Amino acid sequence: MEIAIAWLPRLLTAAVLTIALSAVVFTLSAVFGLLLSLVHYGREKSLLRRGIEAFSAFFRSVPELVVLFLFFFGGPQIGVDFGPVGSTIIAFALVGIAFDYQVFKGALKAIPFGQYEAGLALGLPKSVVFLRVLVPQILPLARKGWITYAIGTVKRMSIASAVSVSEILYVTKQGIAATNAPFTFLTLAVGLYILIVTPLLVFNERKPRQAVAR
Amino acid sequence: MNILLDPTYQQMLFDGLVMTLIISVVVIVVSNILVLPLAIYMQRPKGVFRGVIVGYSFFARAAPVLALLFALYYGLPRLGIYLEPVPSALIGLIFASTAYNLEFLRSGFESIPAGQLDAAKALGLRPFATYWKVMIPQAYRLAAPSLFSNAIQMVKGSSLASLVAIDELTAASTVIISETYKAIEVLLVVSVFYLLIAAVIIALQYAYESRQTFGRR
Repeated sequence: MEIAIAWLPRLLTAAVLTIALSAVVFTLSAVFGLLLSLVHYGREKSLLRRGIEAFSAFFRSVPELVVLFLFFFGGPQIGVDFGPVGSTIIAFALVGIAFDYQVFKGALKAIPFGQYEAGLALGLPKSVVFLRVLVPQILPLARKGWITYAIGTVKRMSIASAVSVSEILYVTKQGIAATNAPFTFLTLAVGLYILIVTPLLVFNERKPRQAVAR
Repeated sequence: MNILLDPTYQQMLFDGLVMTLIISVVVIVVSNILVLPLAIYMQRPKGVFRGVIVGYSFFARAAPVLALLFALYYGLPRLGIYLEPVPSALIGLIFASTAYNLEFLRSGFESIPAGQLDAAKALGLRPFATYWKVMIPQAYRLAAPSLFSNAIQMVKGSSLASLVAIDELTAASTVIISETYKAIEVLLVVSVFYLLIAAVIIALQYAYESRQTFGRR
């Protein structure tokens, strides 16, 4: 018990880092995933779209740990040192973009293409059609898959412990090594993850507000 | 690229690939077998173990897989249980993936209209026949896309076993990198292996879905 209290400040700092990294990755994934899903909207067979699909397939099939190593070990090889935190953000954002792209693409398919054409026929600029017509409709449709992935992002951040980012699981591992009390530390760690994740889970299980008038 | 022509490194990568395949196949097969009785049990309106299963499912999905692997790797010896690294990692990965599969299959069962159960009863089908002929085929068809994509997640999850002393594909790559400093080449080769495994799973999914010719929506 004393061990737990002694280590609690460090664990809490680690939890803050986990939340901060997750928030950065979540934002980058959502913004770029959404942008990619809107590229060449309605021209799914174009070369650019095939390229995006290949990008998405790659980063969804290769383990996060391998992508992380690719930047962490591979960066210095080409003369760029991303560092542990930088590699983590780049690697997880790329994987997140690949996933969110699929989620938003799926949601976009549920919207009749005629709305886009109608918007353009009314003389609205493309950006307005996207921002005021399409995006407000796909966000609620995509929410479930999107937030489920975001919850996973918080937990996947634990993989960054492999490149010594001092997030929750890294500090936990240090604690175990220093005190030889694995259960105390793992219970605390899992408790912290549950605390972070539960609000998101509750938000996700809530009945969706009727965002689209029927 | 000449390091990849070195027979020692080729052998390491090959052994790692074999271990990754073994772990992935065992985790995918075992978790898909375990999940069926659990999902069927959850169809009972009340059961003694419902709470236990719900609690397990929440815990296994809220805790990071890596934390589960650490708990088994560092924790079990403290309890006087000494497992080899491979079975220990297998238990952790199966524990996590079964919880996800359970949710997918359970929602598959729950999407079947309740009237079908009544209809089966009215036709005089016994519970076993009702499940085997009516419920299970439909639940699997509904859950298949999620189950297949979770299978890919399990292959990716097997890479975490490298962090608890298992010489699978990712671990082999880190050893070679530490000796050669050729990270990009080695990791791209490893990525191609993972892509190929994912491609096989996706091909299996298409094969399964193309056999489901009835009841298309």
